[in-house]
Amino acid sequence: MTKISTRECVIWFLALLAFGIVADEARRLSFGVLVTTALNHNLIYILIYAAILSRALAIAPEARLSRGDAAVLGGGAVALALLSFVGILALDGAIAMALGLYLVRMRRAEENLRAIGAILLAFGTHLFVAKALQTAFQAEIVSVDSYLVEMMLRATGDFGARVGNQVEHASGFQVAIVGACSACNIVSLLIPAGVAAVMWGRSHFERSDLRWMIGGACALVVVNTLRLGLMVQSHEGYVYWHNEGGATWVAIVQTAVVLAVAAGAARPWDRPSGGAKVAA
Amino acid sequence: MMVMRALFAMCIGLVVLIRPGGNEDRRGDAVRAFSAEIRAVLEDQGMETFPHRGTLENGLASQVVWFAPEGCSEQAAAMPVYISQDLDAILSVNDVLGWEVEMHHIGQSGSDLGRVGLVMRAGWARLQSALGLAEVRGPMHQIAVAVPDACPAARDVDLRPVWRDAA
Repeated sequence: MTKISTRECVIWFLALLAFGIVADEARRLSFGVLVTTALNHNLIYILIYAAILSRALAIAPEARLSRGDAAVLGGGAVALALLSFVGILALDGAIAMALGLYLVRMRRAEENLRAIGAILLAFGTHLFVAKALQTAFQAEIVSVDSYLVEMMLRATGDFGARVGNQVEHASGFQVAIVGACSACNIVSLLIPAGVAAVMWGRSHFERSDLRWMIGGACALVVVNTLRLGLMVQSHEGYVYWHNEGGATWVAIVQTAVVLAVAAGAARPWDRPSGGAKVAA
Repeated sequence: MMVMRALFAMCIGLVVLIRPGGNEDRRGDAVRAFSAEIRAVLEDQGMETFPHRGTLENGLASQVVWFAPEGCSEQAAAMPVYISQDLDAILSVNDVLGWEVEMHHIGQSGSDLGRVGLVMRAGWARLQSALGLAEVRGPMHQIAVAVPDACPAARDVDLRPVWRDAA
């Protein structure tokens, strides 16, 4: 057994993961910029960190990791630091996934560690697998987005033409949709958000969780298609919905949908008073 | 116990030292200014550059230089030859549009270091800069030129003046 507590190890690792993601988004190395970036951090990610932290704090203070388990956690931390040289955030996801899988399948893991493992697995899936799939099937994915925009424009009578990922409005303005603006990006966030919300309060999944996820995914695809459809209207529309106030509104709506789905799946209002039931 | 704490603290220190700047390099004002510089070079060579008819829906429109090299069809000319320092965006455009991508590194024109080589060099450069060991600009040194298949003449455009100026 190690001398450092399991709880502290998990919190250190969470801090490293969060610092890494914030630092990756920071414009330059300065305390002010890092704080500002942290304050502007993705709300869904904050939900995920909070769920992990909540579960970590529920681990008994006297609990200790075995030397082997501590080595795995420490190795993950070193790998996260060394991979900073490569600068690809998806690799953080690969490590989070591997560690999550390890915790979920750990023989002697208590309930909180397994829940943390499930959240890390889902978060890693969002950061790594979703990115890998998007890269591998980007052309196909953006074709689906483009097709949905085409359907929307046809419905409103504004459709001009579409070639692959390039959609043209009846006015002649056209937009080429690339992977960064695909609905896939935000839909993949649903997985860790839903898992984090569920695991915050309970340690098992229910069939209704899946229904909430599918419903939420459909809602996010509709919102993104509307956004892309509005961008295709004109250059002014593109600028507003991509760079200006419209982009902010879309982000707020998308975040609200994800949080609503997470809350719906977790159903905290059904929980008995006293909060999460956790193993001590 | 102290060993584990020191290990985690060291790892946090490393990520905080190395990572900041990546996003700035990819999306910053300097990139946009550099695109304008490239455009000026193209125009000096008699290329007609023009505003986009559509917009690449990736937030990088201001980094896109559109021009029509002589001999390209009107259809090909309507597509941009995409010049950016955003390696991810270039690879993304390459994947989606099926363009051939040529990678260049300022100061080492024509060298194709490959994606991993470039990003590792950028990470090392950032660490050096953070530690005050060198004045470096990280991935700002990358230029990628994507050439549409329908417009092979675009490959003959001489971008060396840009590399020299920026190196």
